[in-house]
Amino acid sequence: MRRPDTNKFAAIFIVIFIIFRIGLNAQTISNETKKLIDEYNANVEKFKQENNISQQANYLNKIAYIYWENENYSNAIDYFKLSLELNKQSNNLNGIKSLYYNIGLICSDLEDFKKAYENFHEGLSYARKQNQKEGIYDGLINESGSLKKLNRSSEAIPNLDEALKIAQELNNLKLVRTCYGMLAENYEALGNSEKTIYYYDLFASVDKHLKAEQIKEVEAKSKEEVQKAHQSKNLTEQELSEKENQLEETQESLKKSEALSEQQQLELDLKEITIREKEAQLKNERLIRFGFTAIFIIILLFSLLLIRQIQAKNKANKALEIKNQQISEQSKEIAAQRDLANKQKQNITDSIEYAKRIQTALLPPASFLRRSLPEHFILFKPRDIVSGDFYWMMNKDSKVIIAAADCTGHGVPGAFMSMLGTAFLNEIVNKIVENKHVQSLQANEILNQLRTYIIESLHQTGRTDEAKDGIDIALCIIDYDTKQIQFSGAHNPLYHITNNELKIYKGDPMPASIHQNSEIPFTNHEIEAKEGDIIYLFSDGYNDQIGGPRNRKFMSRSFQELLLKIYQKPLDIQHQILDNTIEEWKGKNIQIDDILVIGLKIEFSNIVHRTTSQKYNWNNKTILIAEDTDINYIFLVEALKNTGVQILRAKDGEETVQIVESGKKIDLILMDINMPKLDGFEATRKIRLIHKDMPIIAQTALNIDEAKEKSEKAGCNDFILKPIRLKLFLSTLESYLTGNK
Amino acid sequence: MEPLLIEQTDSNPGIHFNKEAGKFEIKGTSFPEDSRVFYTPVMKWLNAYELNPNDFTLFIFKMDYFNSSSSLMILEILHSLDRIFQNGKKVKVYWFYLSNDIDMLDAGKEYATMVSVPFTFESIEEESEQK
Repeated sequence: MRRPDTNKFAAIFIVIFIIFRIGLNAQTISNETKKLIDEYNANVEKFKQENNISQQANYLNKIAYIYWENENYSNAIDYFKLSLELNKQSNNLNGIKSLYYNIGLICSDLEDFKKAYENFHEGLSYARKQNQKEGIYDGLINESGSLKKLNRSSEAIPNLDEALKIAQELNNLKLVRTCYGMLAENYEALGNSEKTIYYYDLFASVDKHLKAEQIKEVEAKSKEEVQKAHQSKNLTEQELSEKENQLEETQESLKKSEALSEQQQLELDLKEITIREKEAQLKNERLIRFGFTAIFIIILLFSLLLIRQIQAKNKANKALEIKNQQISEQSKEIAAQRDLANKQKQNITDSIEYAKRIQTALLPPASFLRRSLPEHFILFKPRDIVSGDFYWMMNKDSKVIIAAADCTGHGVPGAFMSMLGTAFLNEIVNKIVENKHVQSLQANEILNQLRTYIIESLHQTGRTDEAKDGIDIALCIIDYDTKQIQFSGAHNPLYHITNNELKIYKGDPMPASIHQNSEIPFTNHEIEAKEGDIIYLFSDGYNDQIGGPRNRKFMSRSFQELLLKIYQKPLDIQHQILDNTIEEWKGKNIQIDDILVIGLKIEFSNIVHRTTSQKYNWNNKTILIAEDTDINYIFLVEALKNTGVQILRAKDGEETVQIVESGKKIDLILMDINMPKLDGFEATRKIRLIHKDMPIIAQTALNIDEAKEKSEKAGCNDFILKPIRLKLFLSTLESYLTGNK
Repeated sequence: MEPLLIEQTDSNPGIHFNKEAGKFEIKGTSFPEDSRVFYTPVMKWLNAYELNPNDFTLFIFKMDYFNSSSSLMILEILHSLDRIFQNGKKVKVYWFYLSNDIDMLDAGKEYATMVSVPFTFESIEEESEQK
């Protein structure tokens, strides 16, 4: 009894809606469509009177679909809702589910995701009641779509997992692909990049598979059509051949009838044949004679042919011989070209070797470094003959400016840049000092100017296709007067080890060349350093060397740990350790970049610049130098030039002993160890027999431990390691000559 | 669009660009003799891709080492991605680095400041890489 009532109620609504909506939407819907809607509405009315609920709902749906297609969403929703009421009355679960889904989809179109979600959720519950897999899948996917939009991805994910399971059960790859795609999106929204990439990869591979399948389908279809065409063509051909057969048959029967009349004729002819047989016998004998002649002629022709062939073969052999000759000539030519290539390669190598001499000449010479710098080392390992890394130093009054630089590229292109860099740095520092004063030297200002010089000289404007080559550089200024250290870096840092702690001063994140940041000035760092601290400047070649058990980079962390382990050792030992470590790390790998590491010990107190030796006054003293090599002797004389000391020389061990025995006044002996006739240790032992207290200082190229042990055993007071460091050398001598030990 | 595949060697990285499969990956070490020569086909491909990119481009860097001239070419790759991003498409860079390779993380962070494409940094454990 309830049904008619609700139906009536619904009908009233329908009428109101029709009037209301049609008036409102007259402009957007075409007259034709309007007519269709009117017609459907009439049907609704008709079936209502017949009490046919399912047809009534059917036409309501049709109207809703029309509105939907015409983007009249609110009308579409209203009609779906009316239909939904009816479906609920008839308890049509499938209909109810679909209608909720449709309403949800329209809400999504309207971007009302909350409502969309509610409708999908409701529809899903009906799909579950039916236990209909496709329906559940649709609901889950739609619901997740709304959840994603509502930023509720964490709720969407379990839905999608369930949907994925269904899709897999249905074995429908397209549905699986949708799940993967949506999972990737939702995980991305949650910031879970691992799963995002995982599902994204799955999505991409399924997608690729499906697309390939599509292509296959199209191909198969077109193949089928081609086959059909072939078949019909074959069919017509068959018909054609059948007709031909028929034609032949009629022709044959025609021939048969002809043959019958011929038989009578044949009998008549037989008599004539017997007469002719005799004639034929005679003819046969003639034929045999002719045959013999023919065979003879054939044999003759054949042998002629054979002879000709043999001649042709001989000719071909000759041609082959000529060709062989040509080939050997060609191979000679190739060898000549190879020699030429080798020679050219040699020439190029020679020319690069020459270039290396120029590059080496431009680097600060070791003696200059020794004089200007406190204890230091420079580990410099170019990858090729010439290098893109370079070090640079200049001495201005009480300041020493030192830089470790890395140009883009290595080998010849790198070396070109390093030439520019060296020249520019010289010019920049000299100009600053000329125009202003040494005191105004700023580390960052030098880098700013270096950048300007490079940009201008390479005409860098920032266009994409031009050379963007530049220099990464770490530069520091040590002021021995004020005991201040400044640092500025382009990409490259400075390490400072003090109180057993490694401090890193990072370079600015830009090179000295054109760059997004090339308007920003470089930073000037002030470093608080105390006596005995160590600073390191370097390029990235050491850290980046590939090798080790896993073929990995050495990395800055290992480099820092290594430095902290060895920084207290003498600097030449550090040099050795760093070199050995990286060689061992490299193993059989190639060196991938130039390597440069500079280590410096900070010593303010011991340094007296340029006038080192003037500090000492040994006017009344005499030193005996036992030294067989002239060049070493000259160096020592040079080193002692400004001290006022008297110098005697002995050229071997025996002469040394003789001079001491002669009783000359000698305050100290500098004893070379490796000498002819009598070596330094032997000579020392002999002298000790005469003079117990004569200060004898060994100068040796042995390593430190061996030198110490052997010189003590022989009776030397002290030893100095070669190559000799001026400062240490003079202070050691001072302690023995003046007794201020 | 034809995929671009370049085998990884000791001195040049492996390139795997596939528009249809949505895969964009560059990995390994990069110190070719002339980086501009090596990267020219790479840039050519990307410039063509720029004209008709996917709605979502997920670009993966898995570099162990690159020299300074390669770093300029990587910047050019990022500029290309940036143009796609500026035109309203979704672009993301995943920058992988070995967990103990701070230098590689720093390099990625420096790049991230130079373009507007969003970066995600992911560390890889050495062990998992060994598999």
